[in-house]
Amino acid sequence: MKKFLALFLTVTMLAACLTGCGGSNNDSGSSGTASSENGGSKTDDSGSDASGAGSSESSSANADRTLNIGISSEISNIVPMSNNVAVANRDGLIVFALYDPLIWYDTVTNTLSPWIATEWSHNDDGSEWYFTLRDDVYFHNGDKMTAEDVAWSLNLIPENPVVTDANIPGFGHAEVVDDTHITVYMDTPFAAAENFFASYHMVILDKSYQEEVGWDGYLDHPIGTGPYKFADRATGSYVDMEANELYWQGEPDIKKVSLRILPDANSQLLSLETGEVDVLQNVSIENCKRIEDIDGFTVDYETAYAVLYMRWGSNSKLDTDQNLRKAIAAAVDPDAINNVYNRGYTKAVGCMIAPGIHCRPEDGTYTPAQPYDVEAAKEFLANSTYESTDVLSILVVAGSKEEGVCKIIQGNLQDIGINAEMKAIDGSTYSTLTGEGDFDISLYTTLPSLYDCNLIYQYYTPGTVSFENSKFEGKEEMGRLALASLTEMDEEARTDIFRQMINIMNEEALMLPLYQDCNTFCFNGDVTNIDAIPGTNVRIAEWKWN
Amino acid sequence: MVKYILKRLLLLIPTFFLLTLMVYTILSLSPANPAFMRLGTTATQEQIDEINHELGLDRPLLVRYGTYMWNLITKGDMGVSWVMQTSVYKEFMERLPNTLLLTALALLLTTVVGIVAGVFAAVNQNSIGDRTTMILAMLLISLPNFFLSLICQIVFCLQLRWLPVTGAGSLKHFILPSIMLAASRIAGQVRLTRSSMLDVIGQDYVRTAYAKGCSKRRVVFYHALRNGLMPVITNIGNNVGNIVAGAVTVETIFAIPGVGSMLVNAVRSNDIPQVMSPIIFISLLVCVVNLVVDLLYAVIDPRVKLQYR
Repeated sequence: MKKFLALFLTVTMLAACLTGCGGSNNDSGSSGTASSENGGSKTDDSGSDASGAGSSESSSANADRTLNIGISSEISNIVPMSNNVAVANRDGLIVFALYDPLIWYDTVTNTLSPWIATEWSHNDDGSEWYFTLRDDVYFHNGDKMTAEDVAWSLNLIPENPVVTDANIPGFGHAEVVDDTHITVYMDTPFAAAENFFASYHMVILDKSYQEEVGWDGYLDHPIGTGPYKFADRATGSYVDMEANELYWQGEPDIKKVSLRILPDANSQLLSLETGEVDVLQNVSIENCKRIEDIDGFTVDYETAYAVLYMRWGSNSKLDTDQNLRKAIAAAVDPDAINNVYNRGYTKAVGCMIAPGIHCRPEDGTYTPAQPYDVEAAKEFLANSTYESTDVLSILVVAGSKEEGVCKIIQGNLQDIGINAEMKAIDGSTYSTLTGEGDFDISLYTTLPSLYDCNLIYQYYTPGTVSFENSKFEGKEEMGRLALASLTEMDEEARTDIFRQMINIMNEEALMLPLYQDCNTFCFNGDVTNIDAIPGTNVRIAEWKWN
Repeated sequence: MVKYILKRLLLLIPTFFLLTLMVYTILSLSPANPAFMRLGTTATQEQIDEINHELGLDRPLLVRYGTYMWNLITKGDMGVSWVMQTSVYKEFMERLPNTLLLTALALLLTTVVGIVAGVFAAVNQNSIGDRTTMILAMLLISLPNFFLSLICQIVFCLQLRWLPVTGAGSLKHFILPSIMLAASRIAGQVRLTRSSMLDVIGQDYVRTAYAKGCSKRRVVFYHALRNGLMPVITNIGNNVGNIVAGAVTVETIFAIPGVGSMLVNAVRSNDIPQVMSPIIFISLLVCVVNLVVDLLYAVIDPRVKLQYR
C-alpha cells in the first residue's frame, strides 16, 4: 500500500515537473526567429511554419482568412471627437484602419505627406489654413466624402475641449470654400496645427450618417473613409473589420482583420503560439525574447518616440531643492536600465523629447542632462535639504513596465543614501496625484501624439494646476517660452525656443529623461510586410499574407 | 413558508442599500479624481471644476449616492462611464451572459464533482480511492489559480490543442476557464462532503438501516446523503460568492469579456458608475442564492420546514 502510494506520488510529481519545464516552446533547438534593431529585420530560415498554426495555407486560401491581432487593452475611443474622450496612443492601430486624417505623418521619415488633403498651406501668421481635398474618397456606407464632411468634422473640435485644448489651442472654425476646398480659421495661431491635422485626434467622419444615427449609433457602428470597414464589436473582447473595396488607395491585401483584446501577457504568448492570433503588438522585451526562441515567429523592434522620464512633484521638496534634484539625476544609472534591464532595446536620450520629433533641437546643441556620477551625486546630496530620515515616494502605475525600472532607481538612490519607496497605484490615482503634484518622484512614459515638441508646452502651460502649484526657479521663464512656442510659426525660431526650454530643464534637472522606449511586433510566418515603427501610425492596410 | 420568503426578500432591501452605500463611499474616498484622468497634464482648475460639476462630484456624497440609486431603481439607468463616456448598462448587458455562463458552469462542476467525490471518499474511507481523492483535493487547494491556469493552458491548449487559449466565442472557450474557476472550490467541497458524510455514516440510524437489510446504495443515497448534505448546501451558497469573485482573475487570464474584468478595469480608473453595476449584480446574486439555499434546507430536512409554519 505504502509502495503504491509512493509510486503514485512520484509519477504525479514527475508529470507535473515535465509539464512545467516543457514550457510553451516548440523549438527544436535552432532559433530561426527574426530579431532586428531600428527597423532591420532578419528572416526565418524555417519558412513559415508557425508551430502548427496552419501557416502553409496558400494565398488563395488566405482570401477568406481573418488576420487576428492581439492587443492588451480595450480601445479608449473608437470614434475620435465623438464624446470628449481622448484617443489613446495605443488606438492608432484601429483609428488609422477605420479612418483617414487630412494629412499623413510618416513616423519613420518624420515627414508630412498628402492624404485626404492633396495640398495644404497657411497664411503668414498662421491664422488661416487652406486645404485642397481629394475628390475620390468614399465612406464605408458608399457615401461620397465631401468638403462639408471635412469642415463638419473639424468643427467638432470645440465640442471636445478635453481632447483639443492641449492639442490645437486657438482653433476657430472651418469653412467650406467649394467642393474640394476648405479653410480653417484659427483664433490664435498654433505652430503645430499641421501635425494636429495628421494625428489620430482629427479624422474625417460622415456628417449625414451622424445626423441619421446620432453619436450612440455612430459608436455602435462607426463609419469612416479608412482602408477597413467596421464589422462587429464585443466590448472587452474584439473588434472585427473587413477590407474597404472602395478605398481610394485600393482594397487592402488582407480582407478580414480582428483585433482581439488579451490582457494577460502569458495568454498573449500562448495565443500566438497556438495560432489563435497572428500578430501581437508591443509585448514586453522579455516576452519578445521568448518568442524569438520559437521557430517560425518573427519579432520586429523599433526605437520608439515615447520617452520614459522622472519628474518631481510640485508639492515636494524636490520642486524647490535643485541640489536634491541633481543628486537624484546624477545617481541614476541609465546604462543599468537600458543595457541590463531592457537588454539594450531601449536607448538613452538627452531630453524628454526623442530625436526626430518636429522642432526638437539636435543633440549637442542643448545642455545635456545631468550625467551618471555617483561622487557628484553624493556632493549634491550633501548640499541639499535631504535628511537621512526622509523617505521619497516614487509613483508608478501598478502593473506597468515602470515598476521594474523603479526598482533599479531605488537601488541607485540607496547607493548615495537616499531612501525611496515605490508606490504602485492605479492609473486614475496616478493621474490625480501627478496632476496635483502630491508626490516626490514619478515615472512615466509619454509619446507626443502630434510628434511635435508641443509636449514640452503642455508640461509648462501657465494656468494648469501642476504649473501653478510649482515653485521652481525659472518657472516664469519656462511659462513665457511655452506660450511663445505656441504661436511662433518660423520653424527655426521655434526650435530655438524649445532649445532654451530644454536647457533650463536639464540645467535645473526639472526632469530626468531615462530612455526612448521600444515598439515591437511579434508575428507568425503567415503574415509579412509588418514593420514596427517609432510612433503609433500603424497601417494594417500595408500588411500582406505571406 | 411564503411568509418566510417574503421576510427574507424584505431583508434583502436594507442589505442591498447598505452594501451599495458602503462601496460608493469607499470609492468616493479614493484620492483619484476622474477629471485628471480625462484632462491629463494640461488640466486647469476651471476645467477640473467643470468636469467635476458635469459628473456631479461637486455635490455631497449622500446626494450623489441617492441620485445614482434613484435613477437606477426608477429608470434602470446605470449611468455613463466617467472615463469612456459610454452607457454602463449597454456594456454590462453585453458582458453579463459570459459571466453567468462561466459561473454557472463552475458552480455546477463544484457541486456535482465535489459531492460525488466527497461521498465516494467517505464511503470508502481509508481506501486508496479515498486517499487519492484527498491528495488531489489538497493539490487543487494549494495551487494558485493563475498558476494552474497557465499549466493547463500549456498542456490542453498548446501541447494537445484540445481547447482554445482565450476568448468567449463558443462553449468550448468556457471549458478550461470554468474548470480553473471551480478547481479550488471542488477541493473544498470534497473535503466538506467527506467529513459531513463520515459524521452521518457513524450515526445509529445508519447502522439500524444496515441491520434492517437495506442495501448500501439505499443507505448512502437515501438515508445518509440527505442528512449529510445540510452543511454541503450551505457551502454551495458561499461558493457562489467565491466563484463570482474568482471570475475576476479567470476572465482576465482567458480574455473573457465578463462582468469581473469590467469591475477590475473600472476600479483601476475609479469609474464609480462602472464599478457599481457589477457590485450590485454580485451582491444581489449572492443574496438570492443564499435565500435559495435556505429554502433548500426545507426541502431536504422536514424539521426545518416545520419551523417555517
